[in-house]
Amino acid sequence: MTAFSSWRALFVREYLEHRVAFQWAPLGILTLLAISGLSAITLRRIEGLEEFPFFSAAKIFELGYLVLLALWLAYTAVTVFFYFGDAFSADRRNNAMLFWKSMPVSDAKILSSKTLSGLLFFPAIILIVGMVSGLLFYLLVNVAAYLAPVIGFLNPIDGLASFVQVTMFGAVILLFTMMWYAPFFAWVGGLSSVFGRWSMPLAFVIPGLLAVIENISFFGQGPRGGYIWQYLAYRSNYAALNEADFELMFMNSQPFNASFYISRMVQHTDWTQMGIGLGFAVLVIWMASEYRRRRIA
Amino acid sequence: MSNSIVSVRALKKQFGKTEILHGLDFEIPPGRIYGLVGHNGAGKTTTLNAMLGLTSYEGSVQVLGLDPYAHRAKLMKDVAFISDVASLPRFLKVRELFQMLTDIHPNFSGEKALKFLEGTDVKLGAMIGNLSKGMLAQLHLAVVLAIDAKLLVLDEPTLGLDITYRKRFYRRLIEDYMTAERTLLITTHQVDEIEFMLTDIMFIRDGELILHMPMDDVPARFSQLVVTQDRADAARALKPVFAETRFGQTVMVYDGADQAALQGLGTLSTPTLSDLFVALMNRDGGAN
Repeated sequence: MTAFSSWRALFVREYLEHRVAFQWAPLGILTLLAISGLSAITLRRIEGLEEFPFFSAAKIFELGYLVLLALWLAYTAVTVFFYFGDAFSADRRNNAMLFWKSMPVSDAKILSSKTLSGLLFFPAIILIVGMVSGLLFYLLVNVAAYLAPVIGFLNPIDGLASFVQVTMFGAVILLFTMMWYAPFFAWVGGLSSVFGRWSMPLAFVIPGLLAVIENISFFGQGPRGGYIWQYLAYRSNYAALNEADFELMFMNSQPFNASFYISRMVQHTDWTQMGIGLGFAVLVIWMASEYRRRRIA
Repeated sequence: MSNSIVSVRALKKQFGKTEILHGLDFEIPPGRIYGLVGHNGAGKTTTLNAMLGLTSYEGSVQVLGLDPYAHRAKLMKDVAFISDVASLPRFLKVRELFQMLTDIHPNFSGEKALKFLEGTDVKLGAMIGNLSKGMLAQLHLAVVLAIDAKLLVLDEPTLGLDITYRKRFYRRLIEDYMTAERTLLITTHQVDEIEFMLTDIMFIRDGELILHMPMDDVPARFSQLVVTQDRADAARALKPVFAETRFGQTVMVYDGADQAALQGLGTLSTPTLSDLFVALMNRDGGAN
């Protein structure tokens, strides 16, 4: 028995409790995408490729895979939001609090395992599903190249190189995004410890009310919308890549270079705010664990 | 330094402006089986919660030398408890629960848990959420008995179980679980069923301990007299703590009375735990 096995048990617990949202549902979506691609091939309804004759098969694969990862990132953001709104109060709602209190693990450790699951473990599972969708898309691109020979084939070596580059970029942007929004997710989780699922609307209502109170108090003086609104607006938009980066990503005929975009993200990320946000997240989780320590029902 | 498993001094607990516990003092030495008995709302569960680190309190509580409220997680390595048999995580299968407990609890044995489940209908592949109330209780009891704990706290552990399983559970608790190093604290309303196994008894009434003594001392201190109507006045003169007329006979319970003096007045015996409970917990002054 080590501390590691205890952490592993808590992560496995989160996985077993939420595998529908983070494993079965993504696999279901993936199956639908695969069936959709298969039917397009079977029915020979692959259209539109002729509109992109200037794109190589590699480029089409890279851009398609990037779009797929972006969609999986959006799926992650939504499910993780609901996860934090639900998981932090699930033991109370499911009448399981007394069982967990009888275990030799602290409330802080339980909530930390939930936080790490939500920010890292579950997004990693969805990334793996996203990678599988990328492999399926590789097959689709090559079949499409066979059926509609306006583009050439993407050989496995080049395909693998593109796959690795896009996956690396996807993994880093997923990690940075989860870190950037960690304080928001922790805020939802902290509220959930107290208010249960009402945390989801309250996560927006409380800052909104504070912004209104600030505006009333300062009679509209200060920046447009108030300091709170301005700050939250800045914090809600993770602009690690700008429009020029995305334009380059789409228009550049060279193979996708993950290192280039990752270095751009590192340069553009506001690391001070990232640190403050992570500090806020740790504080909120600690406060939530202290609240949980004092509650048994 | 005390070698008690549990040491409670001036334990008080308030909910809002209402004081639930009014300064309890008691010690529980190792190797004993304690019964904590009281009416609903008397403060049993609040006392247990304070001992298990589940609630804040005034006064001093030490369990295995630790302040339970400050060190609950550490304490739970050596303390097992059931406060609600319906609290097992419902999204797990029984097999997954055992694996998780093996990883999370240093003193849990999956093999022992399986052994305690023998003879029940609980299957390893069953989803906990699909188990009946009785099966949930059987599973939870198997889980706590499979933990090598120094202190086992059972709060109404057999609620919802049929009489056959209850009797078997208590028998196995004594035969397979209890050792000289282990201490058991149990609360239940079915006091007759646990009387045979208790070494000590505590009665709690309205947040105060009104009785705390070894079971072996009960016969010397308490007497029950069944007296016919013609001798009732003589018996009442010896100041029973409780009197009740049943089917034309009067039953009286005495605390510390001279048993030789009672001998000639009727049939003398030691009250059962439930008789003693009724006698001492009666708020209306049953002797009158």
